Amino acid sequence: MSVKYGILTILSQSPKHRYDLKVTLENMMYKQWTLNPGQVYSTIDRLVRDKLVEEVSNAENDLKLYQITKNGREEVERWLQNPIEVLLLHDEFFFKILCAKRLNFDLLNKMIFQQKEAVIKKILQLHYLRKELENTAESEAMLYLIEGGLLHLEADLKWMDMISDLEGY
Amino acid sequence: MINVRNLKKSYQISDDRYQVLNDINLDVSKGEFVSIMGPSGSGKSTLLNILGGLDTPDSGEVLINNINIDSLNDKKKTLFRRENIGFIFQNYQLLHNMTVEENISMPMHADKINKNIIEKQVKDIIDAVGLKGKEKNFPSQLSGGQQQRVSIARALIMNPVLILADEPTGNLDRKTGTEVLKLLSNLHRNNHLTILMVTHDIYAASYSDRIILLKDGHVEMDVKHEKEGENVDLITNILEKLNS
Ligand SMILES: Nc1ncnc2c1ncn2[C@@H]1O[C@H](COP(=O)(O)OP(=O)(O)OP(=O)(O)O)[C@@H](O)[C@H]1O
Ligand SMILES: [Mg+2]
Repeated sequence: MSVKYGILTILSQSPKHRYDLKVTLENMMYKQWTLNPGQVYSTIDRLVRDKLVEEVSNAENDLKLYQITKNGREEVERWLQNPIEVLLLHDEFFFKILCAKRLNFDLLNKMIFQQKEAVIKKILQLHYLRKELENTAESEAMLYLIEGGLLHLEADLKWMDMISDLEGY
Repeated sequence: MINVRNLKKSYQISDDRYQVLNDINLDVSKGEFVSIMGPSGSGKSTLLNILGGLDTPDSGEVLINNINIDSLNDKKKTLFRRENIGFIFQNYQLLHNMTVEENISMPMHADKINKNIIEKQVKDIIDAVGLKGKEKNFPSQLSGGQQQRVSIARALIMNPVLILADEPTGNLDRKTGTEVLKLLSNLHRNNHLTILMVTHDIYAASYSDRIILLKDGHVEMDVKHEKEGENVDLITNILEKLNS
């Protein structure tokens, strides 16, 4: 996930100082991302170089204020509108299965069992997170993420059950 | 609340004996919301029916609140069930010639409870499950989701300590099913109910606090949420997942 688009999104709303940007970005992610300042600041420098963001001259104090440019706004819109490439086999467990089959790994059964357990644990974690967020305002987007996560995990489980069946466990 | 020890159950079909439950051990504490999952034929309904005293084990022990229901005579068993356990089924099991109100109050009439008390309780529970205005409807005049709400209300009317639900969302689409699950989840939280829910659907199970998988008549997996507040990294994981 790109810090770049997070910064551009926040600057689309109003100009900000560096440190402000970092904090706002972290809050936007419900503090689930801890960003190192260097990463944020070097991204800002790159955005300035690419003319997506510019410095505002600020007489009152020395802190540099950044604002988005017309190109920057267009870049965010383009990013939001373009579909993301659908990549399979990014999941390490997919790849593990591939390798285990190749090696005729005799603990495939156990491997699937443990992965299933890990997935179910994550599902229960999401359940608690959902409970927590249901009582707080402005968490709608995060609830969408949780539901999305649950659906992905559901698919993972079904897939593992399918392999178990096919392997005759 | 529930203690199951070395529970076994088999069925004789012509010359063959099928071991449906093979040495089940299980403890459920008061206030837990547990999902029971597993492939078709793994013995989920059989287990639930034995827990509710609707079926009897071959051997082993089942205690509900320290009472061995299997040791009760039929009359006492019926009474114990009515006062302690609420049942919810996939196909609602409502009486079709009775209205919503009448279906819900049914268990109370069997107990010869004062009429005013019945009316008040029925009204409260109808509000709680979101069926206001449907009191005089017959089941055929309700959607599936609404019929399941009636059966939930009926299950709750005697203030049971334990709810046994066999695929309560099995006949509902995801949206309606989710509404029913949210209702169960709220009732669970507000009334300190213990709920055991059989389901095929891991998404439905995501509304419970503990997930048990049955396989070939035994407990294959029993997963509880360990620590609350262990949510750091979690969303980052989801983001990666959604992005991969
Ligand atoms: N009364 C009965 N007589 C004979 N066999 C039975 C009886 N009740 C259940 N069985 C058998 O016991 C096994 C387990 O049945 P059960 O209904 O508990 O499965 P389940 O896990 O609830 O399945 P499903 O997900 O399809 O509802 C099945 O093979 C079933 O055929
Ligand atoms: Mg069943």
